[in-house]
Amino acid sequence: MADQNQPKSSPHALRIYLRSETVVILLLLLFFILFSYISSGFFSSSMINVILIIGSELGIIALGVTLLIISGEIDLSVASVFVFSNYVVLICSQFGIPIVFSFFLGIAFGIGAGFLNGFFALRFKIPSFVVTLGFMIFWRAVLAGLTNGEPTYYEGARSRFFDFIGGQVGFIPNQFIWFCALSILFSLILNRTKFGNWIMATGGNIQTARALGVNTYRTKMICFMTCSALAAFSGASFLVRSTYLDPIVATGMELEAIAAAVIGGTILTGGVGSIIGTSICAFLLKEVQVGIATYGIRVEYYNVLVGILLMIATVINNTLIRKFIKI
Amino acid sequence: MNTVSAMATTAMSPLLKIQGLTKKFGGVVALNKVDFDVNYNEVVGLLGDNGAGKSTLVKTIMGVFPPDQGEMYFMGKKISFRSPEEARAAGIEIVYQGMNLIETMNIWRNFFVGKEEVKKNSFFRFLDVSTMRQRTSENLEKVRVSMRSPDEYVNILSGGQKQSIAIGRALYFGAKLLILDEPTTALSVRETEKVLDFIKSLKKEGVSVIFITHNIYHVFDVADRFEILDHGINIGSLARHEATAGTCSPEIIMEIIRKGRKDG
Repeated sequence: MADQNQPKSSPHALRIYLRSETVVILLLLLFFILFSYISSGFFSSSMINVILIIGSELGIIALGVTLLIISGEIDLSVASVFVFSNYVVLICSQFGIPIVFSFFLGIAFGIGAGFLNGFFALRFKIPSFVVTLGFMIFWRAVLAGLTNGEPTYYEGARSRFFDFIGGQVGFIPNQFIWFCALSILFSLILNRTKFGNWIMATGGNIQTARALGVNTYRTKMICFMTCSALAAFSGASFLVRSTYLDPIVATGMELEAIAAAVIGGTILTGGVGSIIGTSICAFLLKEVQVGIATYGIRVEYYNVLVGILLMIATVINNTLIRKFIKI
Repeated sequence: MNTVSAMATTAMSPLLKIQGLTKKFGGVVALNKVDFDVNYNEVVGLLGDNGAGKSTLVKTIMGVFPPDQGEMYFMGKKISFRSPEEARAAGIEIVYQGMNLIETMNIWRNFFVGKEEVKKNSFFRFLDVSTMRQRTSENLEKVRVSMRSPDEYVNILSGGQKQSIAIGRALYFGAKLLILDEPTTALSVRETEKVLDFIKSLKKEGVSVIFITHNIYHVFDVADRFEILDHGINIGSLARHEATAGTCSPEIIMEIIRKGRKDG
């Protein structure tokens, strides 16, 4: 029976896949070939290793941001939560708490920060843009005060936990394995669970979703908490990788994460998005950054390319979306 | 009031019975001692000018507003819903114009929002996509939107198709009484005809319908009975079989709505 329906649906299903993921994969390959050709230092295992590490760190943040944008909200505080969870892990381990527990305290901080975002945005009906802008400034400023703006080093022993979180398998960093697992997990949650359906419904039309019996408050709250928890996880694993805390690290990363989501096919107004698109796009952005650096262009120009990519991808996505809606 | 309907009432209690329903908003009497029945397998046209109290009446039935006075019975049981969710659980569903489906989702996802099917005997409780697509596909046949695949997005559908799918979903999830709020207002002529045909066919499904409209010509061929509200008062009740006697026609009903009272 199901086979009978197949031919009817295929052209439209195809068009949906055309929309987001394909564009990003093509761009990823295009830039990979381009940089391998023009930049001699780009095509090497160490550079690919760097791309995979920093791409995973951005990607883990962007996964949560994507989920939250699909639910109809936004989070600008992820980069601040990222760096503040660095601090939580560091300070907990300085107090003598084993690094494993410090790590989980860092994630617990993220869940709490996400709850605060959600609480103020949903309970007081303030746009999440404003609430998370406030927390973005707040966490960063508290951290600057606590550290006097200076880098702090982790002085404890490097335990096996460090290898578990930040080690390598060949030239594949463990972060990348974590990232892939999370990416698959959230893709399944979004597309193959009740909760994923509720996220899409809530972001698509909150009144209708509520009328159909979806608990939109709880759905959005869980998205807020997941988003910050993933940012904190990424931050905690960054500390474990680098073993030092720099209070200005990851400045502007929240916008990179949003850019990754949007270029990957997520629509800022909510309801539509792709976890896979975001995941690939995180690596696209970092590939471009590394490519520019190895080619010898000043790294400041990285954001020029991000801006151009954002424009191109959005135009392509919008055109494709409009096309498949109209037919 | 009417001997025919009085006899019917004694023979079988109606699906929905409303007695002396009063609702005030501050000093404004939105509903004034309204009596209103819907029998099994019956389409009732609820007519009246803007501000007559049509939407207040259905919102009170759905539990959006608590009534100030009066009693409501559904399938013989006394009801006082505190929310539309409770009304839905009891089998009363309201379909609003253009607000029932989520435009950014495909049809099968829309169909099962809030009532998703999950795979049985599965630890992860993943969605049972093939079952949901299958059921949606069957339902699309039933509501005569069969040319559409369940994977298509809602925002490419026409207004009539959306309306039909929303009604089909209500039926699928066991609605006994459907309240259609201006179901044809925003539709083209051809679409309107399709939706009206579909509403006529609902009686065979064992469903009763309250059809709210101010366009008598849309509801006249479809409804078995017409209830006319004016300033919160039920000013007239006409059965369509009176049409043969010449005491019920669209013109007569229009006249009642226009004058705000029933003559004779």
